[in-house]
Amino acid sequence: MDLLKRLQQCWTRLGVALFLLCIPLEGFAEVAKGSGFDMPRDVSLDGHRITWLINITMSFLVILFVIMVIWMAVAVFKHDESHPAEYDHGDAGKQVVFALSLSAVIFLIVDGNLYVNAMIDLDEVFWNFEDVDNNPETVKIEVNAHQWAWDARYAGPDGEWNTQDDAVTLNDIHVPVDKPVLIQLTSSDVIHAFNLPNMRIKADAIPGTVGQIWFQAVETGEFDIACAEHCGAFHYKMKGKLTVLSQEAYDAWLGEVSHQSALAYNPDDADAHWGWPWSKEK
Amino acid sequence: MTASAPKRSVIQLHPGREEHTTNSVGMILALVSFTMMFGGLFYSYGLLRIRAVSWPPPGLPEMPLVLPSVITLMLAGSAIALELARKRLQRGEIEAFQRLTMTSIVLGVLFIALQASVWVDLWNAGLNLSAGPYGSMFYFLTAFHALHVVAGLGILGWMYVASPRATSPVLRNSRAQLSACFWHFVGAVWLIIFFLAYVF
Amino acid sequence: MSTNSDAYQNLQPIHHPPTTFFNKYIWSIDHKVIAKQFLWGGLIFLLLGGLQAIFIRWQWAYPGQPVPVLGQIFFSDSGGVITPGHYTSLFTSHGLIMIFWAITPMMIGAFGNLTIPLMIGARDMAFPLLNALSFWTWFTSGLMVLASFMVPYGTAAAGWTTYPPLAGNAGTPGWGQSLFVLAIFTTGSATIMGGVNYVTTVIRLRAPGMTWDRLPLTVWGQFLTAILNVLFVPVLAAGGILLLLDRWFGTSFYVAGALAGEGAGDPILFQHLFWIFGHPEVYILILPVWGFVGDFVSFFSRKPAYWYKGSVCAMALVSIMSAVVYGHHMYATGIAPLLGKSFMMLTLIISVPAELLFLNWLHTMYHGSMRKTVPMTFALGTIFIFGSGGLTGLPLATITTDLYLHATMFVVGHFHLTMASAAFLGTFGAIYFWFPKMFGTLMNDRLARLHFWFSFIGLNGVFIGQMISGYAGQPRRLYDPFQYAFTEHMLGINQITTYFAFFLAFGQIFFAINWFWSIFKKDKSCDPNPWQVGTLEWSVPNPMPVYNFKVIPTVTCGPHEYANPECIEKLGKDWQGQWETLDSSVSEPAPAEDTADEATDPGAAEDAAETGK
Repeated sequence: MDLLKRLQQCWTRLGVALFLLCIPLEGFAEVAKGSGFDMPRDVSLDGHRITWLINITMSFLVILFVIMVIWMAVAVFKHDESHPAEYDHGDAGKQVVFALSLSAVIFLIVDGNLYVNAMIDLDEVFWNFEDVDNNPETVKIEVNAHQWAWDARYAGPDGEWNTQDDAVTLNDIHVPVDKPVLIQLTSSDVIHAFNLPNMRIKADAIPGTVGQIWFQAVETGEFDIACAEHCGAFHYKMKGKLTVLSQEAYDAWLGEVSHQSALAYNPDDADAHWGWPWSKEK
Repeated sequence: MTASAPKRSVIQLHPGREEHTTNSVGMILALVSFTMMFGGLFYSYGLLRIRAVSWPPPGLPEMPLVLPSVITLMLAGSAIALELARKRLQRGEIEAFQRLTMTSIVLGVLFIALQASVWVDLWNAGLNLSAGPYGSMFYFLTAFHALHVVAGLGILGWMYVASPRATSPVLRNSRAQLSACFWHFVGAVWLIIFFLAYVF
Repeated sequence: MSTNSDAYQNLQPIHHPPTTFFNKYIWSIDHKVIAKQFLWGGLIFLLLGGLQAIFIRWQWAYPGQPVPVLGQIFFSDSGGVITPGHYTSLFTSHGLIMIFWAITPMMIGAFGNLTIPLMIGARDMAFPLLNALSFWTWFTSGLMVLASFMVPYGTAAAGWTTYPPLAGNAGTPGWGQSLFVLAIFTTGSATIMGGVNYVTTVIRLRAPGMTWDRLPLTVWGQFLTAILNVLFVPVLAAGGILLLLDRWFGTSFYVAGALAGEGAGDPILFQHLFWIFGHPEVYILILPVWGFVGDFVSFFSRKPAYWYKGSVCAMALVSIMSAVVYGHHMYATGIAPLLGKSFMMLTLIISVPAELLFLNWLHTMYHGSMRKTVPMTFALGTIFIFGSGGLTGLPLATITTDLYLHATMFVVGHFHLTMASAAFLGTFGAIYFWFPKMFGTLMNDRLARLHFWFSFIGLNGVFIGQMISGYAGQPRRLYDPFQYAFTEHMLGINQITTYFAFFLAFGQIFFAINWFWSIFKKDKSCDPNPWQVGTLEWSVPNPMPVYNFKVIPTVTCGPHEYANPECIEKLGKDWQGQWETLDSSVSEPAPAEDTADEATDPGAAEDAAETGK
């Protein structure tokens, strides 16, 4: 009878605790929004996965931290000099099992949640370049980073890269809304990193290698392209602009820029022909 | 919670032997450190080689094999001479020890001299630092190793003088053993570099 | 038994103490003096590194405005204004100096040297000469760092991570960058020398009865750190050598892209080598603090350390795993997906032993009898701040969340909470704790508590501020962070963070006053064991003799024997010293009596003869 009562008490307490804990979950994002330090506006199709995972993890962490602080507070204020110390080495079987179990539970919930969601999101979205590359609707752009600006290149009507009709821009990337955009990137001098905060993603631009990054915008507008790898004194000014347009506006823009680039094409300017055949290795 | 003295008996607590064990632990740790450093360099070799389009790149002179093999044998001979020297030392034959140690040192010096001639030949034949990481890696691995050979020669020189002067047989043999440890390490590293730089 | 001690005494002979000023204070082979040398040296560089941090914070709060007073001294070429070029050097040298010239010498050089021989019952380190050499090598590297500030083109400016190609000749020309890399190599050699010494000493010179399960957690922390140093600093050396060769001899290990010419190297190779060192390095910089905290929490809760074996295993497990998680610094570089995912899993797993350590600390203080001494206050602060910092590592360990958080102030806040703040508070706790042993007097209690609260509030303020702005997306290492639309609104939070930094900096004055006043004051009477703690160093009288222990003690129990009812009954106090038995309360074993135990040492006479000279 006694044992049963104790079990019931235990489960009840656990239930109440879990219920109370649910309240602060997701609370982290609300606090952030309220204070004005929310993440940049997410205008991507899949960025919400990252936003959600960060917020729920931060909520878990806040809960764990609060529990730790309460535990410490009790020890500091109630178990002070007036409290007799227990001669307990903490290495009895039951104690070891409890410590290991508690660690395992925290690990499975917090770390497990992170791991499972990250694996799914990577395979379905963020590192899934194959599906995006094979999608005929994907807009493909090559980006060359250099101190301290972003060159971008669109293949142009002939579909070939590094030819006269390529649309080449400086610090200026336009994409159509609701279409996947796949960017291959490199650098011609030091390591830079292509950062789209409004899409929640970034990737390094490394000389001698071609990296990849993709996204799909769901809203039109103008957004920041920032450099996210220290690249010299003017790293802070390596700013580009990402413009998301309707399909018609985008087509018009691309046609115009391609036309301008073709006019400005100089066959002798080797540096300007930094493009490469679209890399299919990945 | 009563006092608990160590179980081994006092007879085994010979100060010379204790000091030798302590020095050996130190030497082993130092060699672990050096191993990790060379390990980092071999890792670099591996990574650069895998990422290279062709290794060696086209248009470079062939790697010689005869002279490098000869110097490898010289280094091996040096190691053998050193071990023979230590055996004589353990028997108390100081003169023989010093003769054999000198042989070991001379072989080491020859190793460096002939290695240098290989470098000069290859450089003149067109293998230089503009040949990408292939050339850089070759010269660096062999030169860095040669630097450690020089350090080893210094240690052997110290051993030549300090071992006979030791105040006890234990200390005498200890100094020789630890010096030999370093020399054999340098030799073992060479085996790996020989294959990476010249053979493969 | 006493004759066994006799033989042990002879293994570590008592030498004549040094007499000249040079041998006493400059070229000293006494680990206690070398510890002080490292402590002074580290504090000076801590001041320099801290000043650089203040300048960085100034630039973020008042972008482009001249720095008052100090600006004329340090940035006179630009009228006191921090330029973009200055700025890149500031954050680069701040990071490098704090890691290699402030924390390492203080936490490891000073406290490893001080605590290891004393706490294991030895007279000095295994290799005292090597010990002195390691200090002067470090000192030389410090001179190189200072020299790098005075060369044309200025000092290193490629970030503490020194990634090529930016760290190559084309990216950062001039002698400054090269000198700094050479300085890192030099201090690395000093660290390896120290590491070899510490590990050998702990393995070989433990007093009789000092078994592995009776070592204080402080010694375990230093021991594991030393092993990691021995293993992984050489890998940094390898990476650094290749970089210097690229800079000086035109090799092409890391050169790629348009600069490459005929053959390209691989800039990512450097990142692999760097982080194979770099991740273990962060554990190197926290393990000693975990040791201090583990011990202090037990000492000042007057209660045994909870599940000692679990804590030791946790620290060991973290050390073992430290090298296989390094790829989480490289998620954005385009490494193979399978490799990236493996690093993610391992990085998540390494959080578990750290969690366990926390649980053990919390369990130790719970149901204890806490004395809120200055060292305990610092230990509590360390636990608090490492708790928040450590937890925030989880979203950084995960690849998808890291896609957003990488290279933002979230990362900077995370490592400053775990590495800088926890190391800072833990090391200062250690200073206050061992100060009476080192300098013969307790530091002033009130000043110490002021120092704590200013530091604690300041550290929390600065780095929580950084985490907030990082969560909101502010990138790191930006001269002017407010150039972008998504960061325009962040001047306010950066200014508040800067005010906390000024508050933190101001609080250090209390320490400086306390430090100088306590060391140089005339009246220094102090109980040799003011904290009533049972580890071996507290059995040594003040001032400590050069040889530490006149008679090498025989260890009788673990380092956390508090609140043992049998002890309270038999010794009349709540703690048992590691040199004390419960049958009598002698504070030192009786001097050797050679007639006592002939049965156990028939060879003693023979041995004594051989030991001779």
